[in-house]
Amino acid sequence: MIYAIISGLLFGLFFAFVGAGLNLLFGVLKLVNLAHGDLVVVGGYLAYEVSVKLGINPMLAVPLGVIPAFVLGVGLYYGTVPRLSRAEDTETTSLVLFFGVSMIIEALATILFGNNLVSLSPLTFGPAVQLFGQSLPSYWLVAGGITIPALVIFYLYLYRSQFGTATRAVMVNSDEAATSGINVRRISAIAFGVGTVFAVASGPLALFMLGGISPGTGIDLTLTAFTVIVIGSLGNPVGTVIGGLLYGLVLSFVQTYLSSWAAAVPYVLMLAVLLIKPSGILGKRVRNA
Amino acid sequence: MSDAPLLSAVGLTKNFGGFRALDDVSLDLYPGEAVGLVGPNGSGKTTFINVVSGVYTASAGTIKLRGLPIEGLPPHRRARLGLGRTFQVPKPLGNLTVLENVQVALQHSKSAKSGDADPLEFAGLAKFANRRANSLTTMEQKRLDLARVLALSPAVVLVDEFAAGLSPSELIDIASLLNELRGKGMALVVVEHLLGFLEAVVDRVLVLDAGREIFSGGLKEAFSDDKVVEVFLGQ
Repeated sequence: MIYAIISGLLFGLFFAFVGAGLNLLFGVLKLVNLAHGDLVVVGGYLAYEVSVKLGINPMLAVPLGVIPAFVLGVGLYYGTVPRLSRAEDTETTSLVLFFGVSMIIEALATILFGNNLVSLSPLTFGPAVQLFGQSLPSYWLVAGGITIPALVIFYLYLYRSQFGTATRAVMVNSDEAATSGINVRRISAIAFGVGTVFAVASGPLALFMLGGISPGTGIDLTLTAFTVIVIGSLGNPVGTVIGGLLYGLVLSFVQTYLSSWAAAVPYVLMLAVLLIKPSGILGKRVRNA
Repeated sequence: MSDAPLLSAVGLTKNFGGFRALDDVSLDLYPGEAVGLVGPNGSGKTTFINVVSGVYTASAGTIKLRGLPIEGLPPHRRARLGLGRTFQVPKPLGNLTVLENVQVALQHSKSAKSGDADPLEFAGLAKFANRRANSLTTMEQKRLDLARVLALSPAVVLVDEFAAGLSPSELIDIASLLNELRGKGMALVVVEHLLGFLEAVVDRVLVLDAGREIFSGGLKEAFSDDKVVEVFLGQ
């Protein structure tokens, strides 16, 4: 039971980390980046290369990836989103476009790394650690040590910085934000950059938490991240943490006590949340006129 | 009245495909002046506000704010230069506090000065500073919209059907706030259907029909004008 709770919380934080950037983008742009999981995989391959080729700690890929990921995200924004806004049906067009970006990243990953799963030893960070009478893989604690500060930084960015206030303003109402003097396009580009940083930064953890990555892992991660943010509340960054923890705990308990149902139950949870509270756990009630 | 207009819109035209929503409309606005924009639904009033504030790009025409051409600028740059606008349905930044709503505008204003009046005090919302904006009543949200605009230290305020849905006593309060803005030297463009409210706020009106200007002058004169009467009463 304690093992399932610890596992659920740590995996939940990891899923929240993976979902944070996707939810930020949805909140600001009202678009779903279907390539989000593939960006996580890019971070995973970066960590793998750093570890195998340079022989250094794979978690160094997290700080190493920050600036390139931000530049990649901002570039992706300016290369796609302003053009998307000219489309007649922006949402549908964006789904197709980001699906295309996802396929391109997956194809490139296949060319560079092949189709097989790549992984690093679960003992990379040392042997299992005894905690609360349980033997826990050391990478779980590394994951906790990275995701908690990362999510705190995410919170501080959104709720304690000038950029964050402007970002939340754009999330609420981009027209009103613009008439308050906020450069909506610049804030959106920065949000895309930050979202990409969070995706890429969660990649090295995925390498361990998922037991390895392959080019196809991206789609699974996008689906997981989307489930997490739907449970927590689309467009609500704090909801991502709630959604991640709930998803992680449910997954962990089902894997422990009802393992054959593990693939389905998190999505059943998502459906249940959608049916009971369509706006997600932290979402506002929607009134239809 | 000063010789130089704060806002000068000349020949503004806006086409949506083959439909011309605004057709060669011009308006000069001087410090402390308030002009009502009047017309039936679909006459181009809100299109005018959207073109001037930058939500829509003008198909033709020029717009100058304090003599500076702004027709090519995006909405946020027009706002920073001192062009404020309110919305018919208040759209406060709901998840932000009342204070944050105003701070966002203050942070981005190029015109705000340290000696400017406190926008929240002006709007009577200082006591709600730490409340979430979406917990305010409609009237309080409208006041917050005005406070947010005031934080930009604007030269010109575009007021889009601000009186809709307010009680008679609230209308008096809002009219008084708008007149205070005029007293500070700001110029107002007020889109409104309520004639009593317009009478309390504006000096003159511009009447639009099908995107075209059909009258410019005093409010009372407007309703003795044949074209205006025909548009409003169909006779």
